[in-house]
Amino acid sequence: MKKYFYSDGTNKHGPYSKDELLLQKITRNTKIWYLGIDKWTELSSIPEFDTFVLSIPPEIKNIKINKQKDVIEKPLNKNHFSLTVNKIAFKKISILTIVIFVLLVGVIYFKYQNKSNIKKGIIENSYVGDEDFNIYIDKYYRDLEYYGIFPKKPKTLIIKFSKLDQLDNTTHLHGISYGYNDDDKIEIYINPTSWTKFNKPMRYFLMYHELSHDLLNLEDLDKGLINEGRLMYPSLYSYENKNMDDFIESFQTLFEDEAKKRK
Amino acid sequence: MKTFFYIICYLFSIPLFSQFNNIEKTIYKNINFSLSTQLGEYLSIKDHPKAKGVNLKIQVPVGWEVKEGDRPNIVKKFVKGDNVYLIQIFDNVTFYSRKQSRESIQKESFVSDLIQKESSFLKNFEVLEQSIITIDTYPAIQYKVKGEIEQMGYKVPFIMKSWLILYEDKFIILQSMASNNLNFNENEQLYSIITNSVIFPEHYN
Repeated sequence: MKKYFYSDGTNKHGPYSKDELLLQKITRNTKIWYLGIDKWTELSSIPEFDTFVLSIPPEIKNIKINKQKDVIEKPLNKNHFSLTVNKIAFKKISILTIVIFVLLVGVIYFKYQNKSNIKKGIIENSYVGDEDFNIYIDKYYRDLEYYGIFPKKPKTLIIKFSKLDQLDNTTHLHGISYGYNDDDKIEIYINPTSWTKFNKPMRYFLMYHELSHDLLNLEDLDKGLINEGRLMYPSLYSYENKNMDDFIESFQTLFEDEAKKRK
Repeated sequence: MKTFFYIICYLFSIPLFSQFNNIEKTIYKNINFSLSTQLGEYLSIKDHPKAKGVNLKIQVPVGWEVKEGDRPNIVKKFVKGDNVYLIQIFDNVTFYSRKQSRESIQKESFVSDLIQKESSFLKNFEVLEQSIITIDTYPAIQYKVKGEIEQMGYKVPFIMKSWLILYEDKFIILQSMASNNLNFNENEQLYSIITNSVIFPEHYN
């Protein structure tokens, strides 16, 4: 009958029968010797213990070692190499995306805060002057109806003066509206300095422009010269020499287009 | 010989006719000048509660009384005896540019409808003349109508000359009238000169 010895690395233990050996604290890597082999051999390398080796769970230490080996071996494998590179790239992109997202949120928040501060300032500085803005509103509705446009009449109607040129972070604002995309509200603030300087056509241009934001939900046009003279052109500085005929033809063109769109 | 005589007569007659023509022109000029001197200070209707935002200046004839209009659309009236010159302002349905205004008043149906509407208070009215003119860069219809007004069962003959301007989103009607032809004819040219003095100051801002 074969007698087996095993070594724990420092001491030799045995002799044991095969069954006795298997009851000892042995692992796949435990060195075994028995009569008939020249040197101490790992248990896993001895064919007669194959079944037993498969039943032993791998050692945790060994897994770490194996993983480290994998990492070392991976660069040798082309697939492993590209996978690693992809993982690194993915990580970098993810970080970059997060950074951009955070920055974007920050910018949006800053802008929102800024806008909200500007609006707060505009409302705080607003007042009802001597001008009767209802004349402009009545005419605006009348002209819309003439072109077959019947917008919802908002419940909230605020048209006031506000010293827009005394606010920080604003430049040359003649008027500002806050009823865009809100059909229940007309909220317009007019710069009294501009209003005093403006002649009759420019006042009409300004009022119809702001009312078109709030009642027709129209946006400003680009500042390109191609749009100069049109009602939704955002800069009124070049309109100093315009007369009432220019204003009339300008708003009529807009209302005609709007009426066609709504049919 | 006869032919020669005719030629001589003809040649002599040219400067003679020409002289007559010049005399006529001079008389007309003198009438215009004398009429224009009859116009006094400019009257502004700016900020008048019935002016509906229209800024208009017009010269008042010397010796005529300026009165407020009794009816809602009559801003001012100039009165002298039987003669009246009215400044009336009505709302239009929308804005008209001068180009659109000129196009509209060139349409016969548009003009006849307007005249009919504005003369509806006259019975058996007849349009005596009608033309398109310009008043301070604004196209206008000038028309003269006659008819009758019934007062207490009596039919009073009436004649009036009007100027209708499509000004932005308003109708401005300048209306001159008298209840008898003699009075009207005496002042017809003065009415035209009053109308010719109209200025829209905003146009020059």
